[in-house]
Amino acid sequence: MRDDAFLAACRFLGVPRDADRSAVDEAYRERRLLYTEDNLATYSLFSRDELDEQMERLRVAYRRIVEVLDKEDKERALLGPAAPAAPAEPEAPAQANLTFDRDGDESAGGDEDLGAPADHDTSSPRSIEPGSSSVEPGLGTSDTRNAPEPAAPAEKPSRAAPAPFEVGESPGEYLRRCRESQGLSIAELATETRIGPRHLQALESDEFSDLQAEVYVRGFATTYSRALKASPIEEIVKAFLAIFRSA
Amino acid sequence: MVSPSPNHPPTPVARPVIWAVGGGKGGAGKSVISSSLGVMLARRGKTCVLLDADLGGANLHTMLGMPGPRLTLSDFLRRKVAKLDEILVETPFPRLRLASGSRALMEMANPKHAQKEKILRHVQGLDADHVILDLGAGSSINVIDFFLAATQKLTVVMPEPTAVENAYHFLKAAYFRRLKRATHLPGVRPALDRVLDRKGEEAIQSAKGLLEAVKRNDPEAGQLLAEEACKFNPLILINRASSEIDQRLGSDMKTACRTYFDSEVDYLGTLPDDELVRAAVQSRRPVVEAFPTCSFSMAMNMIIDRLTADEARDEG
Repeated sequence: MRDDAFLAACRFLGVPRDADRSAVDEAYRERRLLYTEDNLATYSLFSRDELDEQMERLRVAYRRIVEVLDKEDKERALLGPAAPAAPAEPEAPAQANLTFDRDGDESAGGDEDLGAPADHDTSSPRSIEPGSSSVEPGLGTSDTRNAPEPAAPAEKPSRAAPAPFEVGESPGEYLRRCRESQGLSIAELATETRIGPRHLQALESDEFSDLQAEVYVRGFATTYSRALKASPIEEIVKAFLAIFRSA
Repeated sequence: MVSPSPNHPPTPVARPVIWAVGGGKGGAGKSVISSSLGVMLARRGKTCVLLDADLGGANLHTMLGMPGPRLTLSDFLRRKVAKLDEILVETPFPRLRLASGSRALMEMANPKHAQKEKILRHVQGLDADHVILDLGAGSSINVIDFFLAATQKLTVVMPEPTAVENAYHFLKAAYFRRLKRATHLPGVRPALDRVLDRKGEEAIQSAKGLLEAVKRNDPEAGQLLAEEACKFNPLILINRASSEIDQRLGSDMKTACRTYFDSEVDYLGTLPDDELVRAAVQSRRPVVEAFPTCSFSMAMNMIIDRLTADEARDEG
């Protein structure tokens, strides 16, 4: 039901109330990155506990929206194929340069009722998978699940999504393979990602001598993985960070 | 421009719109941005005063290719001249005048409250469409009070950890200063004092925590304070952006700030890291005049469009 808790959840996630599932997934993915502990925009504003709290609120908001969307999907399916689709808003929240959206923008207020969180393990706030069904069994046992990053949305249909990254392999080597299998050069991706070719080369070599802070490793690895449609992004980033920390 | 009757300032038809450029960290580009705003507004036909409020280390005159002015803010504060507009000097750019702090003495870097109020009172009485305050680095109360006096409060941030950290420190200081100045509202001062007495500094570590504590103590005062907090409306301006991650920073900071402060923090835009900015500074010319079509100048144009459109909307 699209009640106040649903609307508050949409506001918190920064999506319009008629956003479709892919927009909701994308917004959730983006917001989760925002509240990771070494995000440049948040690490010096929030304490570790506050970041965890935001991540939890985000998870609750996401789950609330997905439950409603799934329920509506089922109801439509029962009505038969002739039933009109729900209005869809294809745009995820604008991240463009020079956004100035004082009007009608999301309000990430602190007191909205996002619905009561379920009694699952809050120590693993990233346990909801965007793209999964909220009504699938096991939702309440999130601590047993990994948090695989869903494949990036298809921005350029000509490029096929590569095979997923496997934990244990070299993330740099994996990204290089992804790039080569798509017939792309470092220079092309440097233009697309606006990350210097030197840094992309360094990522592919699992080297970070020029990168002095984790936020850059995380940021570059995330952006590069996304551009290559590599997944799961969180595992790739985790592997890069492990190398960075051990260097 | 010297006023013919310094002892009886004429009442201006309308007060100038004040834009402040602050942000905590030195070297973030505040002076480059302030001078660019001034030159571009003047070029758009607005009368404009640039006030170099970096009282300890003013340098706007150099950015504009001018020698240090004979009269500065220190002359005004020491009552050598009676009115602020007596220290205004014409710049090489029509309609743009400068109030310099360049020869301000070290003690002037920390003016007394009354002196600061005097400057602000005179700023509001200046005969100009816009006054741009180029603030010094740091988050001292003096810098913050000038910042809060402005209609448009630009917070300049470079995309690097120390600069972002300083910017947040600056924004938190401004936020708490704003709440503290709301103590004239009924019941707010005792409610605030009760919370602060009980919890000490710990309570003001979190914006939300402070408001919630006041609300618990005194719901009405808490509500008034929360309404004040909502009006905290700085604009985040990213400078020297180069990568895609830098491009996202402003939007991310806005989201983070709105969550943290629960108020109308906004993202103004992103200025690119353009080597022509350095070239212009080296040649002591405003970059928007020396290289009007470079990427920085083009982005500045969009920033001014946004700022002025916003004001036109507010007026309409």
